[in-house]
Amino acid sequence: MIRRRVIVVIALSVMIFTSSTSVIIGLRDAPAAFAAGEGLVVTSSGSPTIFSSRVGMDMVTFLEGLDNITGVSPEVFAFSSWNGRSFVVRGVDFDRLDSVSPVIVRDVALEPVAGPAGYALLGERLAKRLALDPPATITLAGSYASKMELVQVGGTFSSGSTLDDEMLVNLDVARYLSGMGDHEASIIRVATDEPSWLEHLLSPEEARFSLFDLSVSKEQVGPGEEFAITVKVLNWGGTDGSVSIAFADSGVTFVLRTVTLSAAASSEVSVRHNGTVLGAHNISASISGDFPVTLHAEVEVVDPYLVASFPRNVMVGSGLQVRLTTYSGEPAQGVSVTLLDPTPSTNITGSDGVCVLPADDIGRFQLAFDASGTPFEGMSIAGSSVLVDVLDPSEFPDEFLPRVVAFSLNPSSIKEGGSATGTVAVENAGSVPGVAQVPVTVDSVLHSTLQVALGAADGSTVSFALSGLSPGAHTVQVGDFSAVLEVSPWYVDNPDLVQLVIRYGGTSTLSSAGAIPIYQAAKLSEGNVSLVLFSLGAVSGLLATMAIVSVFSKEVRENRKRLGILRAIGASRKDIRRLVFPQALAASLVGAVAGVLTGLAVAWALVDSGAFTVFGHVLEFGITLGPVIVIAAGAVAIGLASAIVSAEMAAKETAISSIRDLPDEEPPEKDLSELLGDG
Amino acid sequence: MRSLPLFRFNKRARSTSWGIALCTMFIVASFSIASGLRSSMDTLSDNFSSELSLVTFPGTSGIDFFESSALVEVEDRSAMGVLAVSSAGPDHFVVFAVHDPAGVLGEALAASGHDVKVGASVPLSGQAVLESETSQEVTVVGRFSSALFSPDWMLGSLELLLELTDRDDGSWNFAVVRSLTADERDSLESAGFSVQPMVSIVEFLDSSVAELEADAFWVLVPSAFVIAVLAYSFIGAEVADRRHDIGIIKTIGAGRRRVFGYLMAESALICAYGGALGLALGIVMSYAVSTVASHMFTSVFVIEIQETLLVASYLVTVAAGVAGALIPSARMTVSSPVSDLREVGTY
Repeated sequence: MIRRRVIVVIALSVMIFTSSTSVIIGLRDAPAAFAAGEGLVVTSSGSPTIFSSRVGMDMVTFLEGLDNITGVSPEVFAFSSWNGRSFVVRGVDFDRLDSVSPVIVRDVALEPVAGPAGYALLGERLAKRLALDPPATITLAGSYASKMELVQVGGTFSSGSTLDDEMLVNLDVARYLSGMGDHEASIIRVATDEPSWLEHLLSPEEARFSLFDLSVSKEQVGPGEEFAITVKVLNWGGTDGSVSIAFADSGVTFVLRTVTLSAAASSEVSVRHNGTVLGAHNISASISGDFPVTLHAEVEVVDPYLVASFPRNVMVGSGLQVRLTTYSGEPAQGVSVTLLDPTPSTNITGSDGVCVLPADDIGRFQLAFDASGTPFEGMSIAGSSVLVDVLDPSEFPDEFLPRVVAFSLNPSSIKEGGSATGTVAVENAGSVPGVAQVPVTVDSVLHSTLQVALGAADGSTVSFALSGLSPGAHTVQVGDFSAVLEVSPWYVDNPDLVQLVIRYGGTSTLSSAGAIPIYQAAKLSEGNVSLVLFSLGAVSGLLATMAIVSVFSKEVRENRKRLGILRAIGASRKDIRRLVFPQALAASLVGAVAGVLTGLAVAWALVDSGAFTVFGHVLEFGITLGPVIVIAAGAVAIGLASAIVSAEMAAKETAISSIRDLPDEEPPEKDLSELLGDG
Repeated sequence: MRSLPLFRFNKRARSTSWGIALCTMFIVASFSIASGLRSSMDTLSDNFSSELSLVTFPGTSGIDFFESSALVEVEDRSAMGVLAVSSAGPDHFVVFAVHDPAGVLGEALAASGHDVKVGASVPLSGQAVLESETSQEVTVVGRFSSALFSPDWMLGSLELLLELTDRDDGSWNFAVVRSLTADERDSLESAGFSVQPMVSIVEFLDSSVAELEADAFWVLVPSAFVIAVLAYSFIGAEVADRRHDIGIIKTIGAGRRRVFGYLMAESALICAYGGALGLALGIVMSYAVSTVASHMFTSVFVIEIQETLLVASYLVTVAAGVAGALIPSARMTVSSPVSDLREVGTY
């Protein structure tokens, strides 16, 4: 009863739906092309598009140090064109590129040359599009600003991935074209041999916390003196949650604070503490759990003291300026200072902790301090000698004699990317003014030269900043003085470390290559794209359903007469169903299978021909076994349902009307021409 | 048609019209999405612009040399130059020279004789020997600064570049042209030149959207197929129901061509009606989706509807419907009136 043409229509419907679905899935997965389709990708999560993603190159070093990471490839995206065709230019470190998938098979005619001249390899599909036969020298234009670059295309490569649609160049070339800084990359592709470890880290559901930016309000305090400890906490998990932060003093927890944060939220927690035992106190803030973090800071409990600052040499007849501060650097006001020369003079420090005394007599004299009645009573004077030399200018050599008399570094340990301040005291032991050139060396390499202007027998204090040092211990030498600066890696207490292994809410996102959302590539909203793709798929499925229903309905209708005869000779509706069901099942099965197979073949042929291209990449063949089975099963089910319903409706008619092949028993209807106003 | 009201706008005709309308709506919505993408990309492209275009002449090994006469039409807006990759010891550098009498580049880039200036990233100083097609001894006399040319490059004189590349005076291998029109670009490209806007993102986005727009046209295939199947089923079922009537019409003198015309006209009418309905639904749906989406999501994407695409959608609908009706109409046309009259269905 059901003819072969039904099978043809079902097959065509399923074929079209299968190929459409393949293309839609390919479109959905298209942005993964920028991640070369495999592995894991670190991007900056705050960027509106993947092209504007910026990840620090520091992360590359860090990732390479992890045991479970087997490959790291920093990459920079740029765009350019040649001979009227646009394409993606991917800056890569050619040495690191092979550490991540996919495998790149090179066909090189010209090896990279030393020096800054740009070098490029062309993906085999792009080479065909550009009709370039390496070696060749071509110009590239800037991506976002007017620029020009020249690259020597040394060969082609094939990877079996979307990389084959791109041009690979040195990182520096891509950075120049895209205007990116030297220490950045667009993405970092990562390979690991412990996917389960990463799966665990990537779990989006639970709340996860990280601590960062631990600070103390004072580095030195007196016994019992309170200071503030502040730490920031971030929930980088996918759900709300609470965490207990333990604050400890030299390993002894003195307070526990519980913080509740919603997903991707951060907060600052501050507690106050004091120490009674003199000496260094290791203050720590920590959280436990699967991702424990402990941060440390040093606070020294000292006997309270005052620091007197004044020039050790002063010319007779001039004023001696004395500054008094507490151990914590606060000005000490109201302290009486006396220069014990033959004609002692006394003054009281002001609100800035400073007072000036006349130096009337030549010789070495002591300074005396009296803090009675002030908050500083009983404190000793530390940090400097209290002897002052009042000098006769005529006794100094008639030359410029600068010398470094003191050097300190603060702080003595920093994190990578941070800076420390060096303070140098320089004096002129001669009576001729001049400008002292003070070299500063770091690890025996000249770092900078300080220029200090000094008067006759004058002294001065200058500061300089040390930054950009690599992790490790560095010896800083100034004059005869030296100090050690410890530089710890940037990630020591940086949430980026955790966020690296890390997803939502931080400064970086680690995601699977296929998970890069299309809106990041297209700058469209995720909702719109999902809606559009779902709508396309749904409507495509609806259309295929309509075609199948329509053709089955027609088939059964054309066989109403036979069904009527069967009914007239005693066939029940059940018998009708038994008759129709096997035929419909056979037609649907054959049509669905044929349709799926031809649909996949058509989709593959379309993809292979490069008919669909999105953002410089040929669309990949996206469909998998699951959707194929669903499509085939759906087509069979729809076919069966259509046939059974149509047969059931036909069987409902009276046997006579069926045999006579009467039309629907409807009330008289309007003529179509009449309905359309044609009569 | 008026004198022979064979067909009625019955339930089947209505449901077929709705089916066709859905297909047309799908086509309209797809085109609208493609137009919306174009609009979105145009918005992005507006953020980037460059008046300058880089013109080179692709040869078998990349950029090749050309005579200045080849760019005579844009000569007054061109800066001409010569580029070469040269080695200096183990390292390779790009050396370039420009001739910019019209001030196209807006930068003072000049060197004389065998003096060269290096970019900020080039570690050369003093005397050096550059080797390309020939060897030339040069003296680094300073640095050049440019927004257009890489700090990894070296700036030389035209004389030096021509000697290095062993070329005659008047040979160039690149030009930077200001305010190139589309016609001028087409003319240059048809003459074999490669024209690269010096801000590539604009062309990249343009080409990406053009590809997406082309992809959208593939929607026509499944939609047109379903329309054809619907028309095929509709005419086939109508013919099955009215075969006796058609037999009578044939018997009383209606020619085959006329019967064929009746059937095709019916299919065209159903498709025209369904297509019109589909256009209306498509327009309403596109705006509705756009409005809802813009409220629900952060979006730079607004669906646009173009009149030409509406006309194209409508024509595809009618054409597919007519094509689908061809087989049952032709079969009915060629059947004998006697066999038609054996079918006893009537009103």
